[in-house]
Amino acid sequence: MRLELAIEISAKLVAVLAMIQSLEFLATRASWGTSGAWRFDDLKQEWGSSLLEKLLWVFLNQNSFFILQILRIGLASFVFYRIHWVALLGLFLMHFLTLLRFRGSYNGGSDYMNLLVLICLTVTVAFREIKLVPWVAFGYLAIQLILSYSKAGWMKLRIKSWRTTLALESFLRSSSYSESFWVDRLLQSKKLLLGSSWAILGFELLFPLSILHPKLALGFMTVGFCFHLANAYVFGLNRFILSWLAAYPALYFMANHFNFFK
Amino acid sequence: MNDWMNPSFVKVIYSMRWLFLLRAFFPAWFFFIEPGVELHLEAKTDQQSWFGVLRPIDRSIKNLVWGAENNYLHACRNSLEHLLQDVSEMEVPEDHLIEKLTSFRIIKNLVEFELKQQNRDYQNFQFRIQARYPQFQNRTHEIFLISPVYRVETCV
Repeated sequence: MRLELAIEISAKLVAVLAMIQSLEFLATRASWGTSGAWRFDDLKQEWGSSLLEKLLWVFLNQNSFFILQILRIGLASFVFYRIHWVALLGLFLMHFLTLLRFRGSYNGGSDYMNLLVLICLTVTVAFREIKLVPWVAFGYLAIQLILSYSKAGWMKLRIKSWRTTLALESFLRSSSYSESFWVDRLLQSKKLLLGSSWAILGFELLFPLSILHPKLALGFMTVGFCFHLANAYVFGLNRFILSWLAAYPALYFMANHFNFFK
Repeated sequence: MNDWMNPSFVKVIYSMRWLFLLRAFFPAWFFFIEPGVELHLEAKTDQQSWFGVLRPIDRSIKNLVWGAENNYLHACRNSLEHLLQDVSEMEVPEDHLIEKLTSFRIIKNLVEFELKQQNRDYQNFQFRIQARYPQFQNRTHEIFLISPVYRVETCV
């Protein structure tokens, strides 16, 4: 895969994600308004200095935050058609401000991956003429992507309840989620639960192999996509789909170049 | 003493709890590792005894692309965890100090907001956070925090 294509796919995916996120924030604007949960007056007290408070007020008070989300949609649309590092940096800063507005309470992990993709893309696009920079930036993103699965897999493997059906069953049965026909079917079969637990462990632990060959990368990325679709359905984590998909081109680009079986 | 060492500067840095966002560049990547405590937010009004404030997260195909409501509910639940963490980090977790926490105010606002959204009829309200342990048979739940009673007029 050429670097240009990897950049293009990744940028288009983060742009779509930014659009969806901002539209979702606009749809729930009552929750961050003057009578909502995340009221600006309550949040500003922990921003420390008065100068910082004033600076953030410019971007994050109720009206500004509304405008910020509209601008973010506009900027994301621009990035979708024309990739420029300034626009990517703008998306990064807007995403960072959005995180501040909610004290990082929106979707933790997906926000982190989103920030990583945006900053690595910005650096790659801005310094693509310097040969080493895209390698370092996309390499770092690929490593973080691999770690996101393998670290979680390793931690799970060490916990006994994950090697049986208990952990997965406990997460699936949580009363924080609505009932579902498909989840109930899964919960009724111990064999299916055990198979699912080990499938998750296997996928997460073996994911580092994806860097060895582009076909392996493609295979793991396909399974990863299905994994995130299932997570989005079962745990309502839709933002993880595009956040992780946007990092996949970096992995595929690196796998293409390493290609240990050449 | 240098400017950067004076107590007010240290206080400012300490109060910038949002700096934790910088960890975004070195994430821990721990997801769904161990089934632990489930936090439930419950409220009581002068009309109604304890009831759950937050709806369950919807499991539906349509949420694969559009998840405004689900993401809002995730943020609410994460805010409960933030409060739990803030209180556990306090040296002296006294009620009047807990009430000053931003994470506490967010939860208080959240309860008020949700009660309004659900058109509940009330003059006073109180909320509590219940910690449930679904994996333990002999220790199923405990009350982590109970708020004072708030009058609607004083909360708006």
